[in-house]
Formats: sequence, C-alpha cells, structure tokens
Amino acid sequence: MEDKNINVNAEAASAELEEVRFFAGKVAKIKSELAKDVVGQTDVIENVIIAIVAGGNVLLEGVPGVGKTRLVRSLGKVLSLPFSRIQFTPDLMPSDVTGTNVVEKDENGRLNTKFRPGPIFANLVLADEINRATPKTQSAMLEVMQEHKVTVNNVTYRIKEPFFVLATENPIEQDGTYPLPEAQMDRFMFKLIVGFPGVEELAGIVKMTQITMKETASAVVNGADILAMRELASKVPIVDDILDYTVRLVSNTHPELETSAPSAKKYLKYGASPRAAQALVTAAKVRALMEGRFNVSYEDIDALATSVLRHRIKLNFSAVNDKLTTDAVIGQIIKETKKVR
Amino acid sequence: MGESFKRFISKANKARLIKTVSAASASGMTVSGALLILIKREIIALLPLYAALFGLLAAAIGFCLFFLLTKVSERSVAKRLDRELGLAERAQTMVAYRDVGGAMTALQREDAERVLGEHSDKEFKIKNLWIYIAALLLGIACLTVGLIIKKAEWQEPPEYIPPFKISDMQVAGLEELIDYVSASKMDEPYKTVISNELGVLLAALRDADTEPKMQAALASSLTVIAEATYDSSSATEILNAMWATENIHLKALATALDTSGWTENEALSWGEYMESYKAFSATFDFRETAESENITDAELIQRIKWALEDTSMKADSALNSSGIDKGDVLAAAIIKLISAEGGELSGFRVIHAASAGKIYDILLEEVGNTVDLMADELYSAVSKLKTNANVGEYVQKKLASLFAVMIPEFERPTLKETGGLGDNNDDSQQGSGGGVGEGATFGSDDLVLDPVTGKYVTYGTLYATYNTLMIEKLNSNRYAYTDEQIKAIEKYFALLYSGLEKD
Repeated sequence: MEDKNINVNAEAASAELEEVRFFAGKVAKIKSELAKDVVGQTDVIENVIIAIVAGGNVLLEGVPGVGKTRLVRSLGKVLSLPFSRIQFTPDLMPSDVTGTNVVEKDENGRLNTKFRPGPIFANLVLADEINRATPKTQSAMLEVMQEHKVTVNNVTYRIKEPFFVLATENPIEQDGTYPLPEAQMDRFMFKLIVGFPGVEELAGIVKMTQITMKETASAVVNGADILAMRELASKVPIVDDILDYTVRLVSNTHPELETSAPSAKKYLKYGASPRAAQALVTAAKVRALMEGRFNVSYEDIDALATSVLRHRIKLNFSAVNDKLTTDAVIGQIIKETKKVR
Repeated sequence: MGESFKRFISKANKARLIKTVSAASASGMTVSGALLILIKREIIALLPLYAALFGLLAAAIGFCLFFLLTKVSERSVAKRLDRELGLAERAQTMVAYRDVGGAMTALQREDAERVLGEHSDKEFKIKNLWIYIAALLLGIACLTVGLIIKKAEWQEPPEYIPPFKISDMQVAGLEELIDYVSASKMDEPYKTVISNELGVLLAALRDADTEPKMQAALASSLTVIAEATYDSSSATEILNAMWATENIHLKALATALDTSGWTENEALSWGEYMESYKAFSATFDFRETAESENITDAELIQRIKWALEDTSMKADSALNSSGIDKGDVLAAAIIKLISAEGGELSGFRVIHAASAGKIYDILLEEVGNTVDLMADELYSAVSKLKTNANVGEYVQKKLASLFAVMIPEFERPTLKETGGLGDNNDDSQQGSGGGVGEGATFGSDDLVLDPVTGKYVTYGTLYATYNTLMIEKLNSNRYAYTDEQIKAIEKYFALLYSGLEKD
C-alpha cells in the first residue's frame, strides 16, 4: 500500500516537474519575446509577468515616453489573448468601458435591445492614462478588476479568464487628472514605476525604433497556459514563519496599531489593506517558481513588498516634511519588521 | 527526511553533546577548584573530599541542564541551515511540509535535499564553540589552581602603626611654649631645663614619623618637665629659708641682747642663752623631719605653723603662770625663745630683772621683725614654688592639648595654707579672697590668667576687680536690670566668693 502511494506520488511529482519545466520555459519565452520590443526595464517586466501569472492587475507609473504603453501592447501580443486598449479621457463614460444595451432590429424586423460589450470585455485590457477619466468612469472598473464581471442594467456578465488590467498613469501632468480612489488603487496588485532608461538602454531603444515602430513580439503563451501556470504557482508551499512575517509586514504599515513599525507611526497616514498580504503571498509564490524554487522565501516577500505596498499606503505631512518617499518609508518598515524575524 | 538533512541533524546532535559535556565538565571543575581554593585558604571549613563530591554534583546538574537547554529539533536545525547556508527557507519548508502530500511538496523536498547535498556539514559550524572552550579552560585552570595551591598558614595581620607628622600648628605651639617658658619667672635651673627639653622635644617630633615615636618623645619630655616642676629641692628651699630665718632670728636676738647689755648679766650668760636657743631651735628642726619622713611641702608648712603657734601658747602660758605682765614684751619674747625648754624658767627672773624700758622695745621690735621676716621668707619660698609649678603645669597641659594626649592629674601641694602662717601675717601679701571656678576651687592667692591682660594675677584680685565692676554697673542705672537679673548676678558672684570664704 505504502509502495503504491510512493509510486503515485512519484508519478505526480514527475508530472508536476514537467509542469514546472513548462512554467519555466514559458516565462523564459515571455521574457525573450518582450525583450524584442522593450529594452531594459527587466524588473518591471519580471513583475508584470508575476502579476499576470498571479492574476493581478498592474498600475504602471512613469513619465511619457518610457515605454509603458509599448510594454503592455507587446505583452498583449506575447500572451496571445484578446487585447483591448482604453484611452481614458475626462469625457469617457462608464458605458464606454463596460458596454451598453443597444436597440437592434432582428431578422424579423422587430426591435430588440442587445448588450454590446465594451472594451473591458477582453483578457488583457490596457487602461491608458487611467487617471484622466472622471471618478465615475474609474469606478466602473472596480467590479471588473476585482470580481472579473460586469453588471449592466442589472445583468451581470462574466469576463473570460484570464483577465488583467494593465493601467498607466503619468505622474507629472496633474492638470485635468483625477487621482484614483483608494478602493481602486487597492485593486492593483502592483504599482510599478517605469523609470527613465539608462544611456545604453536609451541607445538600444533608439536603434530598435529606427528599424520599426511596431511591436515584433510573437505570441508564446495563451490563456490556458497562464491559468495552468497560476494553478501550479498556487501549490508552492509557504512556511508559517514567512506567512507570519508577511502579515506582520502589512500590519506594520498601520500607524493606528500599537504593534506597528515606528516608521509607520511616524510617517504614514494609513496602511495597506489585507489585499496587500494576499497579493504578497500570491505573487511571492510565482516569484519563487520563477526563481526555480519550490518554496517561498523571505527574499521573495521583501523583493515584492515595495511594489505591492507603495500604492496602498499614504504618507503624512511628517514624511513630506522629512522629504521621504513612499519607497523609502516602506524600506524602513521592512527593516524594522526584519528585526523581529 | 533525506540523507543530507539527516547528516546535518547528526552534526547538530554531536555539537549538542560536545557543548553539554564541555559545559558539565567546566561546571564540575570550576566548582571543585573553587571549593578547593576556599578550603585551602581556610575561608570555609570543609574536607577536600567534599570539593570532589560537589564538583561531581555540579557536573551532573550541568549535564542535565545543558542537555535540556540545547535540545535539537528538526525545525531549529532547518532554520539554522536556512540562515547560515543561505538556503532561501528550503530546509524550513521541507521540515514544515514533510508530512504533506502532493507533487509540489515532493519536488520541494527534493530541491531542498539537492541544495543541502551541495553543502558540506563542515559548513554547519558548532555555534559559540569558543565560549564552551573558554569555560572548559577556565574550569581546568580553576581545578589546577585548587590542586596546586598551598594551604594558607595563619599570619598575624601586620600591626598598624599610625603615621605621624608634626603639623605647622604644633610646631608654632611648641615654639610659643618655649618663648613662654623663657619669659616666665620660673626659677633656674628649672626654666632652662624645661626650655631645653621643649627644644629637644621639637627636634624629636620633627623626626618622628609614627604615633608611637611621637608618644615616646612626648612622654620622655613630660617626665623631665614634671620632675623639674616638682623638684624635691623645692622643699629644701623652704628649709633653707627656714634655716636662714633661724640664723637671722638668732642674730637679731643676739643683737638685741647685746645692745641691752645682756651678755654682762651673769644669771643668763650668752652661753646659757645659746643653750636655750639650741633647745628652741630643736623644735624648728624641720629639715631633718622632712628628710626622714618625706613629707610634702604643705605638711611641712603646716608643721611650721603649728610650731609657731605652740611656741606662742607656751609663752602665754609661761607668762600667765609667772604673773609677768604681758606688756613686758621683752619678757614675752624671751619666754617665746626659752619655752622650748619645757617650761624651765630658771633664768627668767634675771632676765626680768635686767629688763629695762628701751631694751624691751628693741627686743620686741626685733622679735616682731624676726617673725615677720620668717613669714616673708617662707612666703617667698612658697611663691617661688608656686610659680614654678604654674609654669611647669601650664607647659604640660599645653603639650597634652597640642598633641591630644592624656596626662595624669597634677598632685600639687596645696600652697594656700601659707596664708595662715604665723600671727603676724600680712593680709595684703596673702591676698584677701578666693573662689570657685569650673572644676576647681581657687584660693584667694591662686594665680589665674586674667583674660583681659593675659597676665597671671591672684584670684582674689581678679574677683575683687570684677566684683567692683559688677557693683558699679548695677548701681549706675545705665542698664535696666530686673530684680531677678540683679539677684542672679549677685548670687553668681556670691558663688564665686564662696571659695574665698573657705579660706
């Protein structure tokens, strides 16, 4: 009986090992295809891949021209998934995003209302300059981003999995923008800062765009692959100590708690929601697999903490006064949490 | 659990055993060694066997304690492995999920084992081994010292000799004392003796570096000063004065008698007078008495006083029995002289017959002068003695005060008895008062230090000065004294005067 179990386990392990190899292969392919269109930004690309595998939305923040939109468009090609782009503007209406019922004549000439899906009905949605839309339109994204479904006229439409929203925003031009509400911010697994490329990277970009402005990446992953990769990543074990550390790290961002980190008490107005802890653990599992490990480590949590937390916390006046950035405060909180690890 | 992990577990167990044995051995040896040291130094009284027993006990307790404290668990080893070998929590996850089925956990275990296999167990070092080695060395050192140390022999603690260094104030005090003695009216050679001795003492104290040396020098000097203060020759001086007085007396009488033509009288020739005088002088033979009985000066003076009174009484008695007029002073004087013969008045009539007005007066005067002279000589001698004693005692007291030593109470002759010497004592010389001071009673002629002038005056004089001043103040109405205050002041002065009344 025991031998039989061992055999079963061995077979399962062998199958899973194949899946892991498949996972690693797909990740490598995604990276190599993306590298055709995007020069540098390896951390951003890696985190975007993590978010896609983990099923999270990503907010990309960067000045114009650093390749945010190109990265997402290229990703749409690589993933071989229905891709739609919504250019957010102040006059964009919620129905422009979700879709609406329209009156149509049927074959018999009778008028009927028919739901015409909006651009949100895709697997990969690029919400370009999301902060330019009004709060009303931004709020139309809440349900779909969290629950992957859209409700129009009391009718709920489920969106096919996998579904991701990759949004961009420009931190410089603030005129005519509407800051994203905290609830919506919380729906993004990561907020990634797309920095200005280095000199060598810039040269590479210039060279690349001299040949063609179009994305040249090929589709290497489909929706089923991504779902399989997500399923595999969810099985990665995490020990209780690391789980406790993650939870403590998130709760340490809450200045109102007695047990929170001193830096949080001093510099934060409010802390991250429980979604942050969920996102950290989920993303850490994916990262572990991408690193070729079968378990989550403290390193995974620390590496992802800034991307997960930076849009979920708010600095207070003391931090502004001390000229501290959100990332710096998160760094301090990580240090203070590590002390009791 | 895979072989690689077991290898590390085994290493951890070995480390635990090494630590436990080291700690237990260190505890045992330290306790044994410490006890042996304490036993040999006689700090505790125990048989050496107990040191060994307690050492074994300590080792056993240490073994159990450390064995429990350093318990090795798979989880703790996994944590250490992850931390020290940088395994990215592979080992911890492997241990935590060892009983969880599933392909992913199986893969994780394989991965963890693979990574562990890449590391040698030498990389998994025994933590804080140096502490245990140090403890072991300490235990060995302690036991070695305990074994080789010799048993302590009792040694008397070194006697503490308090140091001494003469202070500037003491030097100044001594120098002042030397000046004081030199300027005093003390008789020679005592003044020189005391002054020189103080000089010697100052030199000795400058050299003295310990309290015993200081005390020895001080004791030696105090002895010399005390001897000089109460030199036995004081009594001799009094006797010499007496003897001189007798001679003068003799001469005075002879002169008086010669002047009156006494030698021509056959009834009582000069030679007879001499016989009588010898008998008289025998009663005044105080020198021999003093030397044979070793009496004090005070007793000697008392006896002189008694002798004079006795002579006077005998003379009175003789005059009364003979029916001679007491106004016949010459007769009275002669009676005084011959009364020593035990009432033998054989030549009295002759003398009486030979008496004539003027010669009586001369003889009366001579006899009076002689007695006065005798009293003066005695008083002078006693005053000298008193001055010497005052200076000597002051020096001793000052020395005792300067160097904070105790000196015995002075056994000084009570010289105030001299105030009652003879019938013809001059009150003005003897003073007219005395009193009580703090802790002592002063005679009227006792010398005391006048706080205003800084000079020695008789207590009677001092009392009279202040008593007069007090009466003046009370009568001046310048100060508003209440009746109670006046009574208190008068009572106080009456108390001071009580000593005078004793005289």
